[in-house]
Amino acid sequence: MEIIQIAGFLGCGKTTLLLRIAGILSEDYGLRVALVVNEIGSIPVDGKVMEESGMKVKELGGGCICCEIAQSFANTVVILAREFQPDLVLVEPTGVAIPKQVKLVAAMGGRDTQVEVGPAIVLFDSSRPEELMDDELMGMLVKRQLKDADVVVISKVDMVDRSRIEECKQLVADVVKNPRFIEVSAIKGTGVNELIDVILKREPSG
Amino acid sequence: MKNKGEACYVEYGVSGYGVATKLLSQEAIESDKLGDFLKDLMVEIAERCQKAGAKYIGHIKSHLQTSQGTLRADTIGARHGAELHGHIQKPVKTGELVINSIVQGIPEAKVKDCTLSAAREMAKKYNLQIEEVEEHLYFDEYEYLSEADKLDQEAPV
Repeated sequence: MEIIQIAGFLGCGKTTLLLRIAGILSEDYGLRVALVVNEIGSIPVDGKVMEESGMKVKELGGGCICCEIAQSFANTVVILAREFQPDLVLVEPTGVAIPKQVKLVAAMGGRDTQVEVGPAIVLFDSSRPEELMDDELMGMLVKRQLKDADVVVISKVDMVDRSRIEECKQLVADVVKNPRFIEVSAIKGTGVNELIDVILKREPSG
Repeated sequence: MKNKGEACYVEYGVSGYGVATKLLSQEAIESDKLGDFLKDLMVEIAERCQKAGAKYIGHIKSHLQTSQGTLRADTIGARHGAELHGHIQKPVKTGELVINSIVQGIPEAKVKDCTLSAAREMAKKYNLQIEEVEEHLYFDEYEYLSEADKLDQEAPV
């Protein structure tokens, strides 16, 4: 069982992308996929959306899985491994979570099970790069998330032109050393296969 | 493990409010009109939060569940407009609407006020009734204050 997180700041398109790739991995590749969605509040929206997909969904509310309810997340990993035995667990942390912390907690949960902690896929919203980076406080959080990324997804590329995408990449490259970029539109499917290749550890399908 | 108040997001001054409601109408409403209601509601909440001093709209999202399907709308700020997904097959008179607002720069009580006042006003505009069923305030350690709040706090009694 491998745990992969789809992280990134609030509103960057995590849920849409996660559902898209979960559907492909499950239907086209026959993998057993479980989804873990974390919303800090006890009244979920994303969890409801995911449940409609018909996949195995575990909602974790009442705090952030990278800190406050880390133990619940670790326990969830163990329970999923024992009872559902998925090939893959796709985790959507809150938009304010720190990916490195999520990885640590996932590894903690995997101590007693056959769990591999996979890459942190961190989304960067191409529809509002300045908003994300220019604000002192929010910029600090976004940069911290990006620094933990194994793969940086430039999201919502269907909404912007090429020059905007390149601006986003430059902004990210200013804070992350040698980032691996994938340009994605979860709505149109752009870049999704490349991301699937990363998840399946395959050579790019081109 | 951290205690509430030491959570990762607290230091960034992010505040949130979630509410589960029941949406009612005298007449059955079609998918398009309900979609317009949700989109207008998302933008209205964002505008109210910004007017209240929010520096940043994180994500305002909603989910409407009915017997004929679901709709969901969200925004990352008024100037971005709202996105709508889903469809309702036949007109409906009732639904369960969840709204979740996450913003930065104003306390959670203001996020609540903006969310609820926008919901009530927008429901009225669309001839709907909205009843609050359950609510959740979160991010309860508020450390970042907007300039307006700082002035309020510093003003002599």
